[in-house]
Amino acid sequence: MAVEVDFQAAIYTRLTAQLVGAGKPTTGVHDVKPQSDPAGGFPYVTIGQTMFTMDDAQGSFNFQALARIHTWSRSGGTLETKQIQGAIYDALHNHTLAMPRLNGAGAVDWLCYSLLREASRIEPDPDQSFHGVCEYRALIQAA
Amino acid sequence: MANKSGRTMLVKKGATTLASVRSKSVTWNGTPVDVTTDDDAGATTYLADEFASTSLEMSVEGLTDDDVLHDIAFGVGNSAKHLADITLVTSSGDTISGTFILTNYAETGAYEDAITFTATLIRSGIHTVTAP
Repeated sequence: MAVEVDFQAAIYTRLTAQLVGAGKPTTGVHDVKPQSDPAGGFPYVTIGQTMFTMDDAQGSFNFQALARIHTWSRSGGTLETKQIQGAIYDALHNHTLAMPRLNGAGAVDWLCYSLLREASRIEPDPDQSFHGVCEYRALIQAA
Repeated sequence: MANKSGRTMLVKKGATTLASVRSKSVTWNGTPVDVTTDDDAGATTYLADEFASTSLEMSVEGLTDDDVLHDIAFGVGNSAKHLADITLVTSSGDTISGTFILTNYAETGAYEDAITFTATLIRSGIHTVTAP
């Protein structure tokens, strides 16, 4: 399976487990920003562009992945976005991310051996929401 | 002759290619015999067809998921660092083999990156070249 698919599935699984549900800070984790407000409303998280860079060595296939995780809030201030970004940090930073093959019955094609946050920022959006962007860099090798 | 990619150049221990190597280099050096005399009008002159000594040195850099050189370098004994089964396969398919001594091994672990290593192997005695 494509490393892009398994990586996003792993990020989605981890973030959904940590951020969505009773007592947790978001209404959902999405692939792209919904065209209309999502069923649960704000705040929510989207997994945005992820850039994969080839990082091969002799006989081993490796990638560096830079993933942008977006936070969308309409709370009227930046506090909620910052709190969610903190929750994302707790979920992902220095986390050993399991990358099972999507729908692969437990098969594993890729290993993520480093996952660190590189940057975080918040921008006001034209639709009155606050848009947080966090970038995480992962080091991935073929299993 | 066409250009060749670096990954076609291989360093092997025994029959096994060292894994996760990113960069390889091989350097030959010769030290000629200086036979300059007053008769050479100030121009350095060397003995024809001879060298005082020659050397062949290989350097490899890569990732550490293959622990072959790591284990040799950090092993207590010295004899294991004299390797009779190292070969360099050039991009043309020539095989350079001989006894090589591991004289330098270093690992670097940057916090946000994979651990990398560098190693230097120098030839002891003469090497052989086998065409493909």
